[in-house]
Amino acid sequence: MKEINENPNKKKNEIDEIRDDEIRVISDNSSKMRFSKALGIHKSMSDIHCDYDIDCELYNDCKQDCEEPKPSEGMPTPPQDAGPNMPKSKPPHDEFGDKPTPPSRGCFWIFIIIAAALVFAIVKFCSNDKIDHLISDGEEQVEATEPIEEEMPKEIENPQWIGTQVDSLTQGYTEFRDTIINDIPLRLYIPHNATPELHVGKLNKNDTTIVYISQAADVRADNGGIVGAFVLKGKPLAWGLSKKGYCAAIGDKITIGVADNSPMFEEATTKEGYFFRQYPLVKNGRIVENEPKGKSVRRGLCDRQGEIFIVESLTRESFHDFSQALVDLGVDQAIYLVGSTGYGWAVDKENQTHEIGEEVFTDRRRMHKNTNYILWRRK
Amino acid sequence: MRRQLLISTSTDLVRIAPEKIVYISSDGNYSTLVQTDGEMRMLSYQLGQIERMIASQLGIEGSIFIRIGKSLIINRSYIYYINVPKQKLILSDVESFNHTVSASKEALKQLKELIEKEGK
Repeated sequence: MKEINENPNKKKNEIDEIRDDEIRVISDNSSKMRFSKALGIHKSMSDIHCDYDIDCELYNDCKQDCEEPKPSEGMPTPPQDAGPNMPKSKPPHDEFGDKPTPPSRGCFWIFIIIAAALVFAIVKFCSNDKIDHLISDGEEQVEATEPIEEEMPKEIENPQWIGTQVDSLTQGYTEFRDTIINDIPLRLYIPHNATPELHVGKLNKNDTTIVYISQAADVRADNGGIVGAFVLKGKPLAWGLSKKGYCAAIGDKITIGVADNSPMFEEATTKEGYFFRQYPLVKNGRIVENEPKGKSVRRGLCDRQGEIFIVESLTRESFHDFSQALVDLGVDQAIYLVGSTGYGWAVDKENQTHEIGEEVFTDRRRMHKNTNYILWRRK
Repeated sequence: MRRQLLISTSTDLVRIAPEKIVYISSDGNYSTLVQTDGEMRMLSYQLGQIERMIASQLGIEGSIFIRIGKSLIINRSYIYYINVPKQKLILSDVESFNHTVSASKEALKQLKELIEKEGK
């Protein structure tokens, strides 16, 4: 059995490492010290965690700590009444020690000389720098004070949206826009006056409030579970991180991003929101590479200057080419949606329904009970 | 007031007394905290991160928690039943709650030995 000690000097992985067949008691640095004492100094300090099944790695850790005191860091001297088991060549630490070991006289003078040299070098460097500034011309000075454009955060003052601006009284619908980027024909679905949400299970195709619907998170073929974290109206249905892209729909607002851990997951659970994960395609206007290399009809949920829309490739494309096309379209953030024959539909301004993909709920193929969708409902 | 465990994210905060935690289980990059009142709370931290929070915030009081394998931190106060062959661990106060969790045989064997040693 191991004991975990919170030690900032230890690497994160070192602390996290535990096998499934191991257990360890959780405690802090103080218990580590107690542990080291239990190795031979203060055996009387009974601590079940320390006495129990001493782990060699931890023992070596403690032993190393004991054998490498650094006087310059003010390490205390060993106690006078240390036990007989204590190593005599290099005494162990004592957290209750009285005085730090004083540095030798020779070391003191070396330190003084180095410090003096350092001060001299700094003074010389500063004076040279000053002279350089005095002799440099005005142009150079301007150049030096100019901000680096690349490092400045981009602020969008007047976003140029692709979709039509509609007033709030217009009935919700999906606007279709076709375009070609890098020889890839793309169709944009832009929902208007509609609220996003997720849905799990069989669809009601007679639901006239839906203006756009498309499959969202992937479903595992082996056990039918949803891949990655998933929250349905505040209720978490799946956890875990298999894909770093995420989408959170809370109220009318959709947030698309790429992160290992997102507070949006918790926010979705507390505010009856929705959350799912998918492959990231674009992060901050830059392409994100993904493992799958095949070609297929691709769909992506995109955020471009705050405008949310779905892009579908009308030809079979690789992840890379599709993501690049989104970047070239000016998309800031994008995650994947189930592509290929993933089913859905969109309702246009004339209230005509256009089906997307293939409906899998047929006699031949049964859909998974966790098949899930992102949809926009008329407000 | 006794030390309480503070788990804070950018949006919210959980403050809970250690004895009110029955166990914390891991699910990928998230963890689920199960409380004595039956409530379950999702935390957007990995189990290892929570383990470090316990160690740093509670110090020696954190030793009431035991990390079992990769996916479980339990409160040792509520260990009620261990069955090694069936890989079964029941955490209960024998009054209001009863949670059955699973762990590897080797881990449960070590846990059993630890509890036996404590009892002597």
